[in-house]
Amino acid sequence: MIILKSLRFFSGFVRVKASGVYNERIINICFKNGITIWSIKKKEQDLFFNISTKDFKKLHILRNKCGISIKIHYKIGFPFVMNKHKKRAGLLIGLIIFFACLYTLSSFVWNVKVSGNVNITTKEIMSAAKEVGIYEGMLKSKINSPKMRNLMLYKFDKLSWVSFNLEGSLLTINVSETKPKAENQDKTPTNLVATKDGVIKYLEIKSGYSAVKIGQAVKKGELLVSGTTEFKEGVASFFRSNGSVLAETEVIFEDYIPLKQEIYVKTGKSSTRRVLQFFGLNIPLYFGAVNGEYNKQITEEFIKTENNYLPIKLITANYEELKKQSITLSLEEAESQLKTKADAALNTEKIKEVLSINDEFTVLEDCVKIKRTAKVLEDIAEAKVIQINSLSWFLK
Amino acid sequence: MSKTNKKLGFDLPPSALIGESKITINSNKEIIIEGLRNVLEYEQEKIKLNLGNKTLLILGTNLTINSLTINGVVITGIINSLEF
Repeated sequence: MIILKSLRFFSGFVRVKASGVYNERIINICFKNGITIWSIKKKEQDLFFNISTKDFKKLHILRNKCGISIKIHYKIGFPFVMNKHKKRAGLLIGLIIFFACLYTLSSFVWNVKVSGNVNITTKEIMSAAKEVGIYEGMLKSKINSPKMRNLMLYKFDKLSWVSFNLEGSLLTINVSETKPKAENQDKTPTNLVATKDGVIKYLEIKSGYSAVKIGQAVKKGELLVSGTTEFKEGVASFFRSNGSVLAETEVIFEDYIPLKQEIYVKTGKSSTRRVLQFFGLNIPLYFGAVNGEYNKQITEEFIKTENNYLPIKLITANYEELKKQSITLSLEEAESQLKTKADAALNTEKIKEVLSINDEFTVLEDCVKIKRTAKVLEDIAEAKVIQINSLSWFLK
Repeated sequence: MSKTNKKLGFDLPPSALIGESKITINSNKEIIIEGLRNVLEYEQEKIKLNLGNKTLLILGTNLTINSLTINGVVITGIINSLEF
C-alpha cells in the first residue's frame, strides 16, 4: 500500500469534483474505459474522487457525453511541487548537491567493528587490518575480500579465520582465534636436571626414572630424573621425563633504597583537552598547550546517533598536574619498603614454601641495604634434552 | 452452480466461471467485488451495483468506494446488510 501511495505521489494525481444530475455515471464511464479512480466519496450532491493526471485528460474528453461538469478540487504530487518551484534554481542545485553528497558519503566505510575476538585485543586486530588496507574512511570499492583476508591471516598468525561483512557504511571484521598448542605435544626426549644446589625433600615423577632419593644433597646440573631406559636385549629407549623435584635451597636477595627520594604528587589541578578525529584528521577543540609535569589519561569514543556510530571520534585527554616533591624516608619506612621488595622477589612460581627468613639491614650515609637469606622449598627440576649423538660427535 | 458445470460433472467454484461475480467481505468494514458491470446508485448509506444477471444493494454508514479498477471495486465503511 505504501509503495502504491508513493508511486501515485511521484507520478502526481488530482482530486476531482464531479457535479450534475446522476453523477454516478462518471464512475461507470471510468469503469468502462479502464480508468482507475480511488477514494470516491459523495458529499451532498457532489462526487469527489482521485484520478491520475494522465487519466484526467482522458476523462475530460469522455465526460462530454454525459453532461456532468468536472473540476479539479486540488492537485497532489511531486510534479506539481516541482512545477511550482521550477524557477528556483537554488532548490535544484541544492537537490543535486544533496544527492551527490549522499552518493559520495555512502561509498565510504565509516566505521570498522571487530567481533569474535577473545584474547586478542581489538586494537591489535585493527592495526593488522590497517596493514592490509582496511581502515575507517576507505572506499568501499577497494575492499577486496578474499585477497585481504588471506593477507591478514598471513600477517597475523594469531587468527585462524577472518571475514569482512559490509552493512551500509559499517564494516565488521569477524575473526576466529588460533587455539594455543598443547604443551604435551613436544615429544623430544629429556632428562630433569637440578637448577640449584639443595637437599631433596619431595619427589613427584610423572614419567621417567628417579636418579636421586629424598634427603640426598644435589649440586647444580646433577641428574634428577632420567628419560632413558635400557632393556635386557641391549635396546635403549628415550622419552620425555616429567615431574617436579622439591628441594630445600638457599635464596639470597640483596637490594638498597635511597633515603632521599623525589616523588611526583598530584596538585589537584586538572585540565581537559578535546580533539575531534574525522577520517584520521585531528581537529583540536582547545587553545594553548599544556606545560609542566602532567599525568595524561586518554579516552576515545565515537559520536553516535540513536542506532549508528558516526565516523567522528571524540578524543578526550585529561591532564592531572603533578608536582615534584623531595622526601626523606625514615629507617622504618625504608626497611618496610625493602621487605616488601624482598617478599615480592620470593613470590615466584618455582618457590613453593618459605621455610625461614633472615634479614640483615645496613644503614649507609644516604641509603639502606638489605640482605635477605631465605631457606625455601623450591622446584629445582629443569628439562634438558638428551643428546643421543653427542658421544659419537665427541669421538670424531 | 450453473447447469453446464453440473452437466459436465466439474466441481468448479462459481467465481471461476465466466460471467459470475466474486464477493469477499472482511468483517463488516470492507467488501471486495469482482465481476462488476456498473454502479447504479452511490450514496454514503447505500450503494447499488449491477453484477450482470443480479443487482447487489449494500447498506451501511459512511460507505466509500476506495478504489475502482477494471478488475473490481473495493468498498469500505460500516456495512450493515447486503441484498440481492
